Amino acid sequence: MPTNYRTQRTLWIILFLLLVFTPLGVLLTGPEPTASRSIWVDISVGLGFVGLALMALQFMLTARLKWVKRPFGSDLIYHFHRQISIAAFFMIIAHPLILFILDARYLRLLNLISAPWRARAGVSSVILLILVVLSSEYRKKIKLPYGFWKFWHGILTTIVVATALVHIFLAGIYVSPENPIIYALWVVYSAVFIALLSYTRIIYPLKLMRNKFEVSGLKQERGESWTLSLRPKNSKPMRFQPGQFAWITAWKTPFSDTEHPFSFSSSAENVDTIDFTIKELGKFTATIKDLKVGQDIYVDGPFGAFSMDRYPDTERLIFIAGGIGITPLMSMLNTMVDRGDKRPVKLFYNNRDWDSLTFREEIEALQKKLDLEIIYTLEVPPEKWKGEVGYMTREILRKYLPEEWVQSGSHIFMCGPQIMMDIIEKQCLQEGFQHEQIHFERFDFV
Amino acid sequence: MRYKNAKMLVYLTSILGILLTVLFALRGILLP
Repeated sequence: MPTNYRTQRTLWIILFLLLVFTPLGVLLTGPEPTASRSIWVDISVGLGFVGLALMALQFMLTARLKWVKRPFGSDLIYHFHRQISIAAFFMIIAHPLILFILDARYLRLLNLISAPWRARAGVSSVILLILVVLSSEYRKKIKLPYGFWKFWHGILTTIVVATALVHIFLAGIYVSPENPIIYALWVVYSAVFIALLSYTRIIYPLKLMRNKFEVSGLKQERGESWTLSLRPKNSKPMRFQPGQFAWITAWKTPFSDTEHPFSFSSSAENVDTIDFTIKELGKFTATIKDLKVGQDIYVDGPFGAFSMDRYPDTERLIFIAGGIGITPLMSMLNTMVDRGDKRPVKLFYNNRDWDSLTFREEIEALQKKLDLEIIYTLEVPPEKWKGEVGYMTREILRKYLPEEWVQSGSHIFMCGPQIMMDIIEKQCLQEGFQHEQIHFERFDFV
Repeated sequence: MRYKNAKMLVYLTSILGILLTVLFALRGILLP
């Protein structure tokens, strides 16, 4: 991993912690509020402040700021976003709960008709936050369509933070003009929140609309997949690292906030046309085959940390694909051909059957141009199949990876179903690989 | 590994948040 990414990550983490804790830190050094308050009220308020700062910072994490995402990779940012939001949720929910336990009279504030505006704002924020967290945690279980959920997630979280900010300004106990530093700090936080929101919802979609792509080709592949070829219409070619992905909006404008992430499958060395290979797995992906040549497409990218280019010292490459997880690896293989890269590659390609192996012919052809060994493992093999059968196992890894392949110069790149990657990661570690040598791309991070 | 590190940052942020909150509540006693 190049050092500059490590330094950038460290700096971002320090900045993140500073932004989370500065409001409460400033309160610690400031004057105490005039009203006599119990320790538990202050604990309740403190948790509320930390929770709100965390919640507001989520807009920075999830805004399309490439310089925030580049050192970490988008999958990690979304993983962190999900987990830290739950931590923030418990802190925020503790704020009213502690007050209710402390004094039952606070329960009267739940009546939105008679409650003062400061309480109306606070209660609305918490109720909507509960809705946001439940709908995000159980989206798949209750079968909420991704596009619908994403649209409302954006709107509801904006209202949650906006009403919470209104709440702290109206409550006026700690955040008041009498405490100018903390007051100014929250004014700045609110301004940054509005700026981020304007950037994400207005400026960024406008930018994408000015940099259109158009469909230049559509090709059916094995395994119910389609390769969508795009060329820049009125924008510069999109430079990317092989293995990265982009967010694609089709049929609608970027203002609709209905983009979907797909890995590039073409070479990073030829960006006049970029390819995405997409399997029919849901409502949106089923419409890919209906796209017409010349149709406008909006591409937001590149994103992701899953790329061999981030590990330039790699001597041997081990690619492990499960089903359509072959796409980012195909981009790496195509790029290696264009670069004349002769480093040895072992590709483990797990699929249900022989006929639905996406890129089967293309990969076979690449063997003539690269130092590439392909190991297919099929769950339902054809008759007289002499290759590996079933899922990837530790035995298969051991059989095809001699000892010198388990050394520091080797790097594993895998992409496929989550359960497959979890199992293989464990197996690779048992075989002697280090965590730093194993890289994977999660398709389910959204 | 990356995911484990992210989880550690979540724990660190939560613990620091709770500690700072307690310090905030007890500032009258603990801080000069």
